[in-house]
Amino acid sequence: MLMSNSILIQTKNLKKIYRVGKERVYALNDVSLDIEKGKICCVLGTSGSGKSTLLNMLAGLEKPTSGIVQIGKHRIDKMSEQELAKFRQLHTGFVFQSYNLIHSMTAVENVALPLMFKGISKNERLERAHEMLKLVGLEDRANHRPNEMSGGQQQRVGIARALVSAPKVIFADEPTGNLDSKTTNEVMSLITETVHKNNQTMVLVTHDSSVAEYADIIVRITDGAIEEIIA
Amino acid sequence: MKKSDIFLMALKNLKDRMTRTKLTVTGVVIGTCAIVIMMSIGIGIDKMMTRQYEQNSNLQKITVYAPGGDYYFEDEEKNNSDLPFDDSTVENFKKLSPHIKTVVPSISLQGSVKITRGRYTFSGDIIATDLSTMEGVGYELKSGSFSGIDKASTVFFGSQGAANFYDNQGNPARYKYDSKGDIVQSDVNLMNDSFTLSPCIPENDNGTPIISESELRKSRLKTAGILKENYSVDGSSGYSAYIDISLAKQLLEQYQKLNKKHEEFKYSKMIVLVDNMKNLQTVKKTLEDYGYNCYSDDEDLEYAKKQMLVVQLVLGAIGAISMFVAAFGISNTMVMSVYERTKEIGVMKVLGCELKDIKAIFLYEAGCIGLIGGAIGLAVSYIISLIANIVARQVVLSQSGGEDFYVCVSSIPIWLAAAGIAFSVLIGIIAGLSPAKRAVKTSALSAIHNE
Repeated sequence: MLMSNSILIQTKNLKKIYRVGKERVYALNDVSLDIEKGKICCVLGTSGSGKSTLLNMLAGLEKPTSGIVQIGKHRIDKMSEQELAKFRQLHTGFVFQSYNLIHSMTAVENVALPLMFKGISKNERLERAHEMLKLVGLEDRANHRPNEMSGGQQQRVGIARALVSAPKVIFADEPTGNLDSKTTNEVMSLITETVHKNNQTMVLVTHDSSVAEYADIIVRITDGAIEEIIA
Repeated sequence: MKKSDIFLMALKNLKDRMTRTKLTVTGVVIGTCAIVIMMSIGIGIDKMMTRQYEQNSNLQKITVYAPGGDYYFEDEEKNNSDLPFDDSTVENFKKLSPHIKTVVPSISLQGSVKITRGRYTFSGDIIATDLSTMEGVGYELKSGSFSGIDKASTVFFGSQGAANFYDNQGNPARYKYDSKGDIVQSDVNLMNDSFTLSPCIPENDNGTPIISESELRKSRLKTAGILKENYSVDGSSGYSAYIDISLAKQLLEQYQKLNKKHEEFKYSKMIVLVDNMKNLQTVKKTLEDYGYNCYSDDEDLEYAKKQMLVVQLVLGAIGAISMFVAAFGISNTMVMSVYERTKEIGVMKVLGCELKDIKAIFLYEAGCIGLIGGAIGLAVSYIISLIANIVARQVVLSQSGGEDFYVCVSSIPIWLAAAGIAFSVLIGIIAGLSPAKRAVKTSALSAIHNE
C-alpha cells in the first residue's frame, strides 16, 4: 500500500454492519479517510451517525466488517487482542467522555497508570505524572481522589493520563460531553495546545460544532458515511 | 507490568472490598484449619505412638532365634536346623557387620536343670546368659544390683519368681500380693534365701531316679536382684530365673553325662545389639540372608505406622472438603469482582494493559486470598493444637494417677505448615483461573459504554 509520508492514519473502504434481527444496519458504510501527522481531526456527527464506531475502529476497540485501518505501518484491523493492547500501550492515548478515572486511586496514580502498564518504576512514573499534572494545572490536586474533584478537573486528569506516555496518536471520545461550555473551552484549549506543541496527532469525536472549531480538519459524518471534509 | 505492581494492584483491589475479602478469607481460614488440624491429629498420635514405642522397646536390638527351633516363622522352609548356633556363631556374627556392637547368646535350661529351695522347686524357665551383659540388653532391676556379682553363684529372678515355687506334691509356696501387685510375705524369700542349682536326674524305666540326690554336684546360688517385668526385652522375664552361661555349660555337661547322650551345644536365641537404630534393618537383612530367623521391635511399629497413615489420609480428606467449599467462595468473590469491575478492566485495556497482566492481577488477587487465609488459618491451627495438647495432657494425667506420660494429640511439623499455606495459595489460584479468564475476555469497548 502506498501512503504519503505525512499521512499517519488511514482508512480504506471501512464498513461496519450490525445485524439487528433480520435487518442489516450500516454503522459505517465505505469510509475512506486520511489524517496527516500533527493534525487534529474532528469527527463531527449526531448521535447514531457512526462517529463513535469510526473512532472505536481507529483505536482497535472494534473490528471492521471489511476495509482497512492503518496507523503508521501497523494494520490495526489485523491485530490480535494481545497485539492491540501492546500497540495502545506504546503509541496511543485515550480521553473518555465520562473520564473513567479509577476511583480508588489518587489523581497522580491515575495519571501514572499507563506508565505502570509499561513497567516503569514507581518513582519515575510518579515524577512524570506530577509533571503532567502541573501541565494541566492540577499539581495541587495530585493526591485527591476523583470524587473529590469537579468534572473539569477530572477531565484534565484524564487528559494528563492520555498524554503522559507521550503517544503518537491521541483518541478523544466526546471529551467535553459532560462539561459546561466554560469548562469545555478551557479543556479544549489545553488539549489542542499541548497536542500541537508536541506535534502529536489527535482524532476527536463530538456532536458539538463549537468543539469542532478547535480542530484542523473537520469530518462531518452522517448515516455512516462521510458527508464532507472541511480542512 | 512489574510483578511488584501487579501484586500491589491485587492488594489494593482486595482492600477496596474489605468486607467481602474478609468473609472470603474466613472461608479459607476455616478450610486451612480443618485440613491442618485433622492432619496434625494423625501426625500427633503417630508421634505419641512412636515415642511410647521407643520408650518401651529397644530399637537397637535384634533377636535371632535358634535355627530349627519351634518358634513360629512366616517361612517354614527357611527354618534350617543345620545352621550352627554356638559360640562360633557368636564370633561370626561379630565379624559380619561393623554395626554389630554386641551379641548376647542365651539358652533355655528348662527340663535340664532345676533350682530348689528346701522342699520347693522353681517351675519357671531357667535361662542362661552372660550375666554381665544383662543390663546392656535392657533388663532392669526392681531391687538388687547387676554389679559386683560372682557369676558362679548368682541368680536373678523375675518379679513373679516367688509365686513360681512348688513342692513335689505340686502345692505352691504361699505368697501374698500387696496393693501395688508386688509379692510380699512369701514362703520363699527371693532376696534373702539361698538356692540350690542342680541338673535334673533322669529316671529309670520303672520311674526311680538313676542316682540319688546326694551324688549330684550342686551349686549354691544367692539372688543378686529381682528383675522388672519388661516385655520388650523378654516376654517371660517376670517368671524366669537367670544364671550365668559358664555355670550352665558345666551343668549341661553333667546332665548329658547322666543321660548318656551327647547333643551339639546350641543356644536358644541370641540378642544382637547394633550401634544405631538406623542400621537395624541393614544388619537384620544380613542376618536373614544367612538363613537366620530374626525379630526386631520395629516390625510392630512399621505395621502400626502403616495403619496410622491411612487414618491420616482419611482425616486430611475430611479437612479437604471444607477447603473445597472455601474454593467456591473464592471463585464466587472473584467472579463478582470481575463483574463489578468490567468498566475498569475495559479502561485498563484501552490504556494499554496487556492481557497477561490483567490475568495476573486477578490470579494474584485470588492467590492473596489463599495466602492470607492460609497464614491466619495456620496461626489459628497452632493455637488450637496447643490448647488441645494441654487439655489432653491434663485429662490423661488426671486419669493416670500421677504417672507421667508423653501426651500429644496434635502436632504441626514445619512441612505441614508449609504444605498448608502452599495448598491454600494453590486452591486460591485454581479458584481464580476461571474468573481471570473472564476478565481477559472482557471487551475494551466496555470502557466506552456508559451505563
